Amino acid sequence: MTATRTEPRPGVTAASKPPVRRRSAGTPMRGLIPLALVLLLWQALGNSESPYFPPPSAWIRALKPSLDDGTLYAGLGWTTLTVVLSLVLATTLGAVLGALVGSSRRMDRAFGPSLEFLRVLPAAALVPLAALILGYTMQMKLAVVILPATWPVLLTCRSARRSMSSVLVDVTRTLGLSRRQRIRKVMVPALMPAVLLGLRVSAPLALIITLLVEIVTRINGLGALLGQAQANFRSAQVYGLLVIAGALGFAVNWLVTRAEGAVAARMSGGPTG
Amino acid sequence: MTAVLRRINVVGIAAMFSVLVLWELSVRTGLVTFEYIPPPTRVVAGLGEIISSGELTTNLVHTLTAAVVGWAIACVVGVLAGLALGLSRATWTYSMASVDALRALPIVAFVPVAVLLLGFTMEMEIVVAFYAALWPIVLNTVAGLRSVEVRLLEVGRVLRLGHRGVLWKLRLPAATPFIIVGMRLGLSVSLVLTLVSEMVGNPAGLGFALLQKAQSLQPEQMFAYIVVIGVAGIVLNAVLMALARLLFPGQMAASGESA
Repeated sequence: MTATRTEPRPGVTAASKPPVRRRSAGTPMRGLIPLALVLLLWQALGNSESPYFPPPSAWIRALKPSLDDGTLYAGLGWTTLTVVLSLVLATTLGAVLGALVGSSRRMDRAFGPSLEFLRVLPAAALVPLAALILGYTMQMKLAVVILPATWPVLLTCRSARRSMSSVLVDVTRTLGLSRRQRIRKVMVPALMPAVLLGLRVSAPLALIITLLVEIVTRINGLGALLGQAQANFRSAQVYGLLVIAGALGFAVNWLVTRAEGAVAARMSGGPTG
Repeated sequence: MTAVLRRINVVGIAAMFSVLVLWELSVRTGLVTFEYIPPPTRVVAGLGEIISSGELTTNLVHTLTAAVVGWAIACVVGVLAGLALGLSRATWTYSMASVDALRALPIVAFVPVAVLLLGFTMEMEIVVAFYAALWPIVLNTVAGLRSVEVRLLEVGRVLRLGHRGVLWKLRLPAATPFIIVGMRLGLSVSLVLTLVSEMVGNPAGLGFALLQKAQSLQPEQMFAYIVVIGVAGIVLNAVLMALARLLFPGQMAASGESA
């Protein structure tokens, strides 16, 4: 059971075109030594008054006020909320649309080019547009994040649905399953790995776009704090916030990978249990 | 002849076109009453305006120069770093985790740091584009070098290829499709991050033009810029793929990227 967790399932790797999968579990922690050395040297040799390269201890000191008055927690909360909400909506939207588009060859051909164009459109270009149409609101933030986060799920789900064996679909007809049963018993289990694979691409993307919207528009969140700190030339605070953004990114990746592992383990044990 | 016709996706183009017509009609008839959504014909007019005033060319050249220069530097550095990590077990053991940790930092969060260090300059944009493109290239190079089949390496040993022979004749050719994928990812990321650095920092190029058009309430010109940005991304990617196929026909065909 545990062995299947770390190994990608064959169907999953086939769906992901660039096989960038690394054995992340196998990356030894010793590899952190260079990074730690750089930070230590920075701390030892850095001048705490430096306007450009303040040492790590100055970062912590610079973050202290925002920790005390709670603005940092509020910013983290807003950013996390935006990422989670938009990921939930984007995954649902992407999975349903992907399954629909992939279910018929004709639909696939008809909508393929439009989807491809929308997919390559850089999300950054949409920020000013959304701000103009929806104003500086939470809805605007969600709209800007959801759109790019939908594509990875939609596209993997579409290709998984397209390559699904037609026997699987026919069997449900032979068994006389209702539409609901067909979706619940065949479609969802068959497409789940693809959706999760898409989610793994979407999750870091959603965080990046959220930070981007916040930096550009200064709507509450971690990105807004970063933008303000930069505009006021508080370099130590910028570095500190950068580290926190990194920790958030790490947490998001970890959670998604864990969720994927859990679902994969449950599904591989599904037919017998 | 029919084969060529079949390759052009008529239905897909028709669907795209009908969406545009639907959009035009719904704005004209007042079905959609968003104040700042112009119909496609007005967007085309806006495109004409920015072309004839010459600002499109200036901005496009500025942004593409920054993105491509940063990306090119990242290609050289990224492939070299990837080779160091992928070929030497010791280097990999003692630095891969650092690479992973740095990669986990959201790239956009680096833009404020770059603005802080380099100010509102073209160099800042290039550095951001470089940093953004670096990680996919490094990771894919490492993955490509590690993907070489053991049996292939055994063949190399049987043929007594030696270290350099194995590198040039087996490992690099096998890694090429991976490296190209990394470069493609890197190119699109560096374009996006160049736009971001123009929105947040350097007031020049396409990114700043977008903000400017939004603030001066000229949505048709802004839409025109968005379309240009989308097309620019597609064209850059197509050029890269064409180059890759020209330079490495065998390797690209082997990875199923020949068509």
